[in-house]
Amino acid sequence: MKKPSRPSTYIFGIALVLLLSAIAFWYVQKPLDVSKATPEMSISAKNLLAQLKDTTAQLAVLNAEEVVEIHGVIKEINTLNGRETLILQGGTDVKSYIICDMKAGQTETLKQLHEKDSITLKGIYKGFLKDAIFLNCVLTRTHQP
Amino acid sequence: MNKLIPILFLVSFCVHAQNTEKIIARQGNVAFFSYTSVENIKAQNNQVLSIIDLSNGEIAVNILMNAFVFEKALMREHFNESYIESDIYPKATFEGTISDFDSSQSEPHTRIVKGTFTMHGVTKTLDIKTKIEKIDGKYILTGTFEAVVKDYDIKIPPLLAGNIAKTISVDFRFEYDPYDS
Repeated sequence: MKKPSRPSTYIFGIALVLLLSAIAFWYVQKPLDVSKATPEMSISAKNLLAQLKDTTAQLAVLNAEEVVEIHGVIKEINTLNGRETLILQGGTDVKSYIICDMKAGQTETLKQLHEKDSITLKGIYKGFLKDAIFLNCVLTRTHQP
Repeated sequence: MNKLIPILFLVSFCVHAQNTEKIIARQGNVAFFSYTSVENIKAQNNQVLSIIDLSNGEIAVNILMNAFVFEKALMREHFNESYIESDIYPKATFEGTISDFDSSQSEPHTRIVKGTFTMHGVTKTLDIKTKIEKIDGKYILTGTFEAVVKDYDIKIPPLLAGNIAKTISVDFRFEYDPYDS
């Protein structure tokens, strides 16, 4: 068996490193596909807000960047700042909401929705100010009355 | 019992008046821009919280740092993990007062908002020129200010120093609703 020459081994090695770097770079650059991600939890908007408003439980409930599935009732759909945003109601006694910045490409689906519709969506949790903030949200289900 | 009715009415009126004097923006927009010859970086946050007390012009702003959206995922990763360290400093805040604020003025006007801005654990005093408009009964505040990166103890690796401007331009736009809506 012929032993490989030294230069070709080096070239192969360099090519392998470049290929792995390219794969790693592509992987880092690729945003998480929320529609395919398995949620860390599935919870109603009312229960999630009740838990997030309890500051002692906030850390235990959710970590930032986790994908969460939320069931709730639409309070408002708007396009403020050129972004499609869906706001879910909290409980009747809670003046906090779930603010979902929708992932692009759902304009037609959003046109079918109305205030007070019950829906389920998935999104990446970013944190809690007065409301719970979710980005890259995708609608997964609408519940017909 | 008859004496109680006017008192209850007064208490109810005071509570209502107190609530209506505050306005809230739940989806404020804050965008920053870094321009260098090597690379331009833009990011936007559309879920910035702000509350104004119309009775005295006090304003508060709260920003989730990990909610900035970048063109490239790698930029977002560097911003959160290396520069801003959003796991340690998740929020930036501004607390201040609108100078000579007059809530009865309906024409667009410009005021200086004086206050303290805290980001990456560092607090700086800022004077921000702000345009105030009242459109369809809604207050809209817009403006721009500049933040010097090194003032906020943000360390840029020497290798990337040419990619990030020393001074970042920050634009904001807040559209307010009544507080209890």
